[in-house]
Amino acid sequence: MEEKTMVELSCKYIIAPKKTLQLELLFSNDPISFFGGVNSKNGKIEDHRHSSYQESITNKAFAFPFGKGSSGAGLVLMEMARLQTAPAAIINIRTDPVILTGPLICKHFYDQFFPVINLTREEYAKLSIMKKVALFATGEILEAFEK
Amino acid sequence: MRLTDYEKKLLDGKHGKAIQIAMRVLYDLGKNYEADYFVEIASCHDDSTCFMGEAQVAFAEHLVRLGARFSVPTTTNACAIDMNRFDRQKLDLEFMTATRRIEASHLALGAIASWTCAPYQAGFTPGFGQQVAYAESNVIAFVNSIVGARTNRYAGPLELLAGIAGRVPYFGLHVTENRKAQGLVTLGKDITPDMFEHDDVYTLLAYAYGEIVGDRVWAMDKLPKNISMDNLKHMSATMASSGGIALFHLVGITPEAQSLEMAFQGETPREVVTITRKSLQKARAQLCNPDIEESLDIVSLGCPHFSCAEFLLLEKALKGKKVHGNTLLWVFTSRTTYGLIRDSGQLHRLSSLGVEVFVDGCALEHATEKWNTRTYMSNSGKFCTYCFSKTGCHPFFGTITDCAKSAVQGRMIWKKKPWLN
Repeated sequence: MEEKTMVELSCKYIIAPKKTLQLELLFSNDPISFFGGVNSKNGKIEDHRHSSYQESITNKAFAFPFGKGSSGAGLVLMEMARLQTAPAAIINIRTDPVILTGPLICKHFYDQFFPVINLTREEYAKLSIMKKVALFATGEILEAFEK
Repeated sequence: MRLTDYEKKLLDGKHGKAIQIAMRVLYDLGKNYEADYFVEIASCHDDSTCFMGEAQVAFAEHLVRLGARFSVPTTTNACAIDMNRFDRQKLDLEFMTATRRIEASHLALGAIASWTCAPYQAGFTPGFGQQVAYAESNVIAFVNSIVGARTNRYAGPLELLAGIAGRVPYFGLHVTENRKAQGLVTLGKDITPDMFEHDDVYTLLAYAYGEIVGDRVWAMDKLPKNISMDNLKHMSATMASSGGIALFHLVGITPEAQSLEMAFQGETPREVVTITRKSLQKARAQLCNPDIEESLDIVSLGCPHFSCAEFLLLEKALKGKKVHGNTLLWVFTSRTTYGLIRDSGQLHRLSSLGVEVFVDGCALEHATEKWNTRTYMSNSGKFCTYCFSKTGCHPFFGTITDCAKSAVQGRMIWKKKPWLN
């Protein structure tokens, strides 16, 4: 029988969750544009060039290396938050203000916490075989699980 | 962050609730990027205009109710529809009502009603070195790279808060050092001078550049110096679609890269990547892959908004011939450019050939089902990047001349390009 394996990754919480969150992980090595890349109505990736095409990001920890494309991302993420199709957390190597806009507005205007985490390139690569992650309100580490 | 007395008062709410909450968000943003202080901005470009759902509409109305006003000149980006011709576009009524609400709230905030995604071709261009806060990915790339103004990639509705507060944290591309190129994209020997006679080569190079560079600041060399403003526009828009480019340097062309040394701020490239003929072929395969080749339903131009120079090219390419009865030739432009071509008589001439010109709206918002559209053609790398996810159809990509000829013939035709040999 296989052992359930867990790794602890050091990371930077740009926005920490209010309480511990256990989330299904959707990992990708492709950057994404939320505008034209994600359907806000059903939470599915609609960019046919993306490795997770047609998969849902709703309520998952969505890992992509960095944002690209349209600055409509902020508006799309806000709409996803309203429709409850948004990812539960975002994990990046780098988060530019385009990706951070939605989570920042949700935090300050709607008291809705939308964790955003940055990992180094090396730590990020370790997520590729992982299925689940745990995020903590203390905002220091990230636990990743193979099962 | 070090704050001025005035900024402390803004954060304390002494100048009202709206600017206080705007400052709180911007302060938090600054903390995340370890900014030491705020920098005042000269202008703002508002991209919270294209309707993507009720959240943004309600948010802008909320700002108005809080008593918010822009404290710097703020121009509006394109919205989803032509506000006067939405019925012709056959877009849902929901788009029209939402857009009018967006118009009302943004004008109440004090926005300039420019309604264009190419404000730099409609009289709204920042100065070199000026600190600004712009949203709309092509505008960000253009004003940073071609003009040399300084903005980060701000997104809607964060830019509204920057416009209200009149300042942003001093980080990222506001800072001289961060504008330094890190790597160089160069052109292989098989990219020959004759290729630059075709406008689409710039878009293909830009698509490849965006894929290579991602979200970093790099430079590109060996481009001809006489590159047109519209090709620079399409390069900005395309790089910011295939990649997350906020600033690119073209050696010998863009203001912060008059020499290689200048682009790298005295250092040397850490990495060099060569674009070859094969890269152009790969880029074309991404942008040009129609499902059906026999018929052409719509030629969609003006992503970003069409310029006066592009209208001249289009008219020349049409050679007085009418658009085919089974094909639409739609052009999206700004109210400014529309006024100029109307007053010059060009709009009348183009209309009589069957060209339809829309203002305010976005070429990517098309009522595919109501029009039963199956085939799109465009000269825009940005349009072709997003076409499938926005419409469900893969596009055909070509120059304005290819587009005009195809619209007349009612099917996709194009000149064989040297990079396909």
